[in-house]
Amino acid sequence: MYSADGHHLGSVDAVVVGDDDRLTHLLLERGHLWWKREVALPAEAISKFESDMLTLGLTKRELGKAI
Amino acid sequence: MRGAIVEAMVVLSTSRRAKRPWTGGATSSRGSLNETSSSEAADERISVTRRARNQARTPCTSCTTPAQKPRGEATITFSPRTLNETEPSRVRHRPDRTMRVGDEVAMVAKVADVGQLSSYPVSDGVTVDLDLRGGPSSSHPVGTMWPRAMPLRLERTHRLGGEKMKLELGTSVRCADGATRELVDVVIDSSSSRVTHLVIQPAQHAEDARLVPISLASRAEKDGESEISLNCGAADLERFDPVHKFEILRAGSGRTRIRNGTSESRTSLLRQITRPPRLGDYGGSLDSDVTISYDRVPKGEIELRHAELCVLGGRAPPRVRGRGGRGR
Repeated sequence: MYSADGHHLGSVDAVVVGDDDRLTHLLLERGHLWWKREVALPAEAISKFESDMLTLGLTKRELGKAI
Repeated sequence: MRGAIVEAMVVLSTSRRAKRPWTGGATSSRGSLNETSSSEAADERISVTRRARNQARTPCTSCTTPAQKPRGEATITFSPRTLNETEPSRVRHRPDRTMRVGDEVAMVAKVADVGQLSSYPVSDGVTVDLDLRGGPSSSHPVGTMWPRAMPLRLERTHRLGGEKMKLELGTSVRCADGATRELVDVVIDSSSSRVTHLVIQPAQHAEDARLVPISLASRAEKDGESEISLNCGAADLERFDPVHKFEILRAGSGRTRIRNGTSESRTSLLRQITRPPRLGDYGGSLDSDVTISYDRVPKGEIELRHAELCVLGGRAPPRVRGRGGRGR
């Protein structure tokens, strides 16, 4: 995954669905081979759904603060 | 025959006393008709099924009148035409979700063949009467079949409060008959942010991927680890729509456009394009046809796959990585 300015964000590793099958979190895998971590992004952070592409309503700085 | 009915009801009433809906398994978090997680539950289900085969079509005595409906269940009424076509005896639906024309409901065609789930689209002739009052679901006795004129019984999908299900892409999914499949993609309704379907395929057989409604999936525990189980067998998966479609474009046919399709589905994802070899390249043969493959998901929904692109701030991505290939 890459941000618009070329920053690597990670890959969608899993999705978490809640009681009514509503998407609650996206689990992203970030980091390198020897330092990987999983980041849970709340679904509220997604502003636009498209096939093959999810657009977040957060800037990278905001995302960095959130995680 | 009366003894058989009473016997079946006793089995179910025992499970009710255990404060959980009859799901056929101890670890299911959703309504289920044929999920197997313990030998005891399997034996119980088999015995109930055999009793059901010996019964005549008897309406469920506990559900025939609204005042006696089990708590937490909903009712759907099909038009006689639809009823005669499908002859369903049970319908499973999630009452917390508004049913619309075009939605799919999973139902069991015959109670005697518990486990043969099918999905049918809701047509215009369907009248939906949802009763959401009440608490957790409690199944009415297995083996009682609805006569054709009777309203169908819905089982409310039950999941413990606040319980969440993690859908990890690339992990295995266990079918009701013990077969394992792989969860490769999820399909999300972009308007409501709900996961509607799972893309399930046999390991190493991507061409057999199927679009399975998420209502058939539930979370289960096995050996202390959480896994996803399906309330249908591996053979039942063949009934669902395949995800991957292939088309061969003849040389010289000009540009092709993947149409926005029918009212039920559309082509949404161009997965791979195999172009004819350029002059000077080894092409193997003189066949210059172009083969394209793409995924079909319900209209208005998107497919989320492993290694999906994620963009910050809504700006255009530099490239797309993952199985979708480079570029769009």
